Amino acid sequence: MKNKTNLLKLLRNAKQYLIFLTLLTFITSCDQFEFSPNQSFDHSSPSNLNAQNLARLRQNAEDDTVTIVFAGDTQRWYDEQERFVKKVNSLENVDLVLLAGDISDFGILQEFKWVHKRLSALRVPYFGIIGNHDMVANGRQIFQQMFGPLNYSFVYGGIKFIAHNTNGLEAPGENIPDIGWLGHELNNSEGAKYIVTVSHVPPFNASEFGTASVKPYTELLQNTPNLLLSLHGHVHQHQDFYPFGDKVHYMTSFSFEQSAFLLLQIVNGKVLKSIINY
Amino acid sequence: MKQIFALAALLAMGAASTCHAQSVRKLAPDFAQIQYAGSNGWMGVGAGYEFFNRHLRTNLQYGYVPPSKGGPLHLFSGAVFYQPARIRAGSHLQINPLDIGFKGSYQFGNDYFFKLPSRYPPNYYWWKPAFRLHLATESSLTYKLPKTAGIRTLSTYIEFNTNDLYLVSYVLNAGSLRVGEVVKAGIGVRVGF
Repeated sequence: MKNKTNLLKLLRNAKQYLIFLTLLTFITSCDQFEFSPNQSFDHSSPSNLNAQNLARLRQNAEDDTVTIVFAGDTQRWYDEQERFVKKVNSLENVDLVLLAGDISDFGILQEFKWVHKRLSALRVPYFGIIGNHDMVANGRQIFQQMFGPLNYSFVYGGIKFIAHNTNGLEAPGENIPDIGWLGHELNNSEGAKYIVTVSHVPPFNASEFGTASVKPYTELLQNTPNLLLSLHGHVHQHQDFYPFGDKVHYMTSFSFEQSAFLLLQIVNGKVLKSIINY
Repeated sequence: MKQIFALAALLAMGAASTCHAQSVRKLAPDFAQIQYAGSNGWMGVGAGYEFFNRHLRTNLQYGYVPPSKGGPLHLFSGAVFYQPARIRAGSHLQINPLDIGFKGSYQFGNDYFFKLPSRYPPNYYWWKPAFRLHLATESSLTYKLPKTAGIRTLSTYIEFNTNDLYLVSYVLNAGSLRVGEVVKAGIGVRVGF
């Protein structure tokens, strides 16, 4: 009799134990359990987004027009990101979105996830470029984990896109921007017809770019044939000009705060620009 | 001679140990805890004191995030919780429905500045990556052990927190960011002495 009650007790305990275990696995697999705002990834954070989006881009049938949505500085404007996505999705024939840095505001994993959660609703692939805010705290590791290398390039529709890190002030003593890498990429061994460079801090913001790098950088761009555009974010206003008195065409994006982006249609080396409000 | 030394040593040790025991008793924390997540380490260990008939609870906690969980990160936090209500459920069980508190956490490491490095213009970044201020709640279930058990209580708790930067993001985007996106959780076990 006693053995029987003991057995019953044991069974009941085992059941409780099982419930507890199930609850624990449920709880620990949920997104709520944060180890630190600065952790570089968690169990649901995406990885290699740029490579994945490049693979998606490759599925497009390429034609003679490359249409780019050019935006930057998503930062802390989540409402705007949702409206941005709706607007971009309503446009036909967009090939890709370039996001010219400051994806996050505080360099924190959650922000990258909040932004990606919204931008992942885009019908077209988007490419993240690292901004100075994305290098604060553990941001660089987070960006690397989520988007991939900080400097990268790809050719699409006859255009070579060269995305790179120009946030020199964030890491003095480091090779930012990496002039050697950039020079190699600008050599255009792929033989693309045209080149578009994209980075966050523009070289005309010398102290944030890294004063010593301005001259070698701008000279490199000057000496690159078929360079169509040097695209940048950071300044939170749209600029379209030739600040160094050479032939290099610099353009900066609106920030998300301004609820506007640029639509760039490139046909045979000609850039058609429209400003789109959302 | 040898015996005298041995006796002296024994006495000294005895005196030291009682002395030690007394001061330890005085300074010994009221509880120790081990915690999973809660924005302060993958796992964290802490201890603290209770005041005002246990309505106020303070603790210090060290937390670690291993590389496999998004680290390596070392964190240290201090918290103050107020316990407005407790419900007795039977002779041994007590439920604390909702304690509220603040938690300050410090993130160790060169990538996390507390004071803006001099290379930046003033106020270039207005926040401190090394320091987060968290608003937190805790709900717990406490089991009171018999006097002979050696430890007084055993509690399990679930903590919810948000921090200054998440709150700023939320308040400015209440239409888009959801509460579930800015509130993070942790669970733990606390032993009361």
